[in-house]
Amino acid sequence: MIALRNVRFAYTNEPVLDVSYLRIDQGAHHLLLGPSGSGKTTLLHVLTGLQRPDRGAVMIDGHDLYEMPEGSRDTFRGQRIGIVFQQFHLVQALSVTQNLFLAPSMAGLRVDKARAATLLETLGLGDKARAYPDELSQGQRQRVAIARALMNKPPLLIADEPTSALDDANAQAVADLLLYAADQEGATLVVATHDARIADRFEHRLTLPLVSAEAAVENE
Amino acid sequence: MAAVTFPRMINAQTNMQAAAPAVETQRLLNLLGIGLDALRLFGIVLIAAAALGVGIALYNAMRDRRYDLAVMRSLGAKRRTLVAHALLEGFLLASMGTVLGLLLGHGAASALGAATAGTRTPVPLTGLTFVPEEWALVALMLGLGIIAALIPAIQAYRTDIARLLARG
Repeated sequence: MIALRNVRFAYTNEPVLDVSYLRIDQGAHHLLLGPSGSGKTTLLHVLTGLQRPDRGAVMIDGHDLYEMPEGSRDTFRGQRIGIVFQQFHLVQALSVTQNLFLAPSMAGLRVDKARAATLLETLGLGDKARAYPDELSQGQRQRVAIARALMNKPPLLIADEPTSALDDANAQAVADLLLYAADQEGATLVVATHDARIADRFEHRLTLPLVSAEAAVENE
Repeated sequence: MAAVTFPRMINAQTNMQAAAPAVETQRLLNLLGIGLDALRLFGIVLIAAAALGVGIALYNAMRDRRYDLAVMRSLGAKRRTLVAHALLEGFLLASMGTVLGLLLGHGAASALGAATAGTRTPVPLTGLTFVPEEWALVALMLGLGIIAALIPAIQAYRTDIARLLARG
C-alpha cells in the first residue's frame, strides 16, 4: 500500500524526516507516535503529497507520488487519500452537508448525496446536516471532518492529532470511529498522535524519529 | 462692416449691451467644457479608487480564506482551480457592481428628469436610453475586476498548504 524509500526532508540543515525504508500494508492500522517536533506532521504531509521531500520515493498503491505532475498529485490525493486534521479545517461558510460535498467536487468526482447522508447518519450527525460548523461542538466538528475525509471512499485514511483538541469521551469516540470507518471501507489508517489515551487501540505503532528500517521493525 | 460697428455703437451710445449669440454660446460651451473635463477626470479618479478598493477587499478576503484554500488543495483541488476561484470572485463582484452602477445611473437620470418635468426649467433627461459607450464601461469594469483579483489569485497559487495546515 504505502512504501517510503530513502525519504529525507529538512526545513534547515537538520533533517526533520529521514526514513530509509517504511512499508504500511493495505488495511493495516498504524499509530505514529513521537514528541512534537519529531516530524509526525511532516511525515503525514509527505505521505499525502502535500510536502515534497528533498529526496526519496513515496509509493502509494504502486504510484510514485512525486513522479507525477502536481495537478495529478492533487487529484490523486483527493480521490484516494482522506485526511483528518487536528484543527478540523471545516469551511465555516458552508453547511455540514456542503462541507461533505466539497470532497468529491474538489477531487473531480460525482457528488453522492446519499453517501453524505449515510455517513452523517453513521457518525450520529443525521440531524446536523444543515447546521454550520460554528453551531457544532468540538467533537461534532471532528466527526464532520472524518465524514468529509471518508466521502470519496479513500483506500488510505490519514489523521493528524485527531483527538488532541477533544475531551476524554470524545477522544475515545473519535478513535472508535476512525477504526470502525477504516475497517468498514477496508481502508488503511495512519494516525499521528501524542495522545496516550488512544495509543492502546492500534495494532501497529511507529515511533518517530524513524531513522532506519530496523527502527521501524522494532517499533511494531 | 455693420456687424463690427453696430454692437460697438450700441455699447457706446445706449444703456444696452450688444451680444453676438454665436460668440456667447461659444464662451458658454468653453466654460461648461472645463466643468465636463473636471467631471471626467473626477470619474477616472473614482474608477481608480474603486479598483484599488476592490483589490484590497479581494486581497483581504483571500487572506481570510487561506485555510479554506489549503483545505481545498488537501481535498484534491489543483492550483489552477484556486486561481480560477479567485479570478471568478473578482469577476462576479465587478459584474454585480457594474449592473448596480448602471441601474443607479440610469435611475438617477430618470429621477432627475421626472422631478424637473413640470417646473419652469425642466431637465429633459431619461434613463431609458442606452448609449453604445456604456458597453465600453461594462468591459472596463469587468477588466478592472479581474485585474483587482490578480494579486489574490497569485496569492492563492502560491499558498504553502503544508505549512498552513501544520500551523492549524
